[in-house]
Amino acid sequence: MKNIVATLLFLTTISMAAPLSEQDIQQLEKRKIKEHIIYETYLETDKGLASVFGYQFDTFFNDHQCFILAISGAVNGERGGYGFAAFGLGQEIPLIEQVSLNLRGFIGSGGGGGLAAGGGLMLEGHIGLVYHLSNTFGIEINTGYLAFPTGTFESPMVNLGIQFSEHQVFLPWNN
Amino acid sequence: MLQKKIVIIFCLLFFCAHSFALDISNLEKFRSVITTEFKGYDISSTEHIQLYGAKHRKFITDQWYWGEAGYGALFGKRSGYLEGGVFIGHMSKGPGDSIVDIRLFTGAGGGGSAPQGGGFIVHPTIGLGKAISSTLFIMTELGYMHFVNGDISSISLGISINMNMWHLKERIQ
Repeated sequence: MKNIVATLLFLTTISMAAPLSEQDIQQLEKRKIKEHIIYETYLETDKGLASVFGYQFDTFFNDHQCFILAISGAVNGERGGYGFAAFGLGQEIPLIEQVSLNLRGFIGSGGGGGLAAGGGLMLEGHIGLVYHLSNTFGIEINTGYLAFPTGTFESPMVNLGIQFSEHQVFLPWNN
Repeated sequence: MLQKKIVIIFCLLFFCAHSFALDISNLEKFRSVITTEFKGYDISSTEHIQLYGAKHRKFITDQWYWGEAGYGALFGKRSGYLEGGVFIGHMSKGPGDSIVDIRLFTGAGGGGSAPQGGGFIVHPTIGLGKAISSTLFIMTELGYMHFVNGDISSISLGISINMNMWHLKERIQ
């Protein structure tokens, strides 16, 4: 066991990266990413779970549609240890200059803390508004519904969050 | 208490907003593969569990890689059951344009009142895959899930969709 751990630790220190060629540099592209910090409250609980604190990372395909990775964990209520990890798709629809409509759907795995989440399959959908305070920073409020189809727990929810946008440089796969 | 919360929120905002500019001439690339995987195994002689998860392979040569992975329960009755850990593996071309992948995952797992004991996992797998585009390939995997100090030992089956990508990083001068 110690040998396995030592080998894996050693591997993390190895770098065999290749420098970018002129052609690589010409092919560099940028894409929009967005990070969210979210506080989410479940409205109909069994007096157990109440609120979770979470992080979401969006990678945009274009200006308004994105792939989402999300993770949250219980911070309020009597369900310590409850959490979920999910991925999903998002759509932003600009309404006026500083406000967008925010649509997001998630599928993932969750449970813990004694919640009646069955096998753990989790589905969640949001609709909400984003107020863009600047090009890179926004405040969001969403409402939606959370369900565990293989368990009994389901609840409407509201969440409040902040979001940070930036562009990330990447090299498209060309092999 | 309120002051503590304000300090925590301020720190989060500061770290989220803070970034360092990249110098393109110092960029290096290495192959990485992002995977979404569904897998299942027997948690006891009478109970199956199915999980989904993601992993990130980081290649240190053309064929050898290491990375991290995490999984959560989807079906069964063990919501909250999780696995997380690191792995080392070897991916090469097989017969008929196939892809052969041999990997050893080790990490921690448990939850959902499963008989995981101390939770230490060793999970060797062998996989066979096929490219569906220049970027994407699918893999099927056969493995043996073993909780070293628990009661879970089972053959595992998995299927995954994988995406090749270049990972960029700045060379440290």
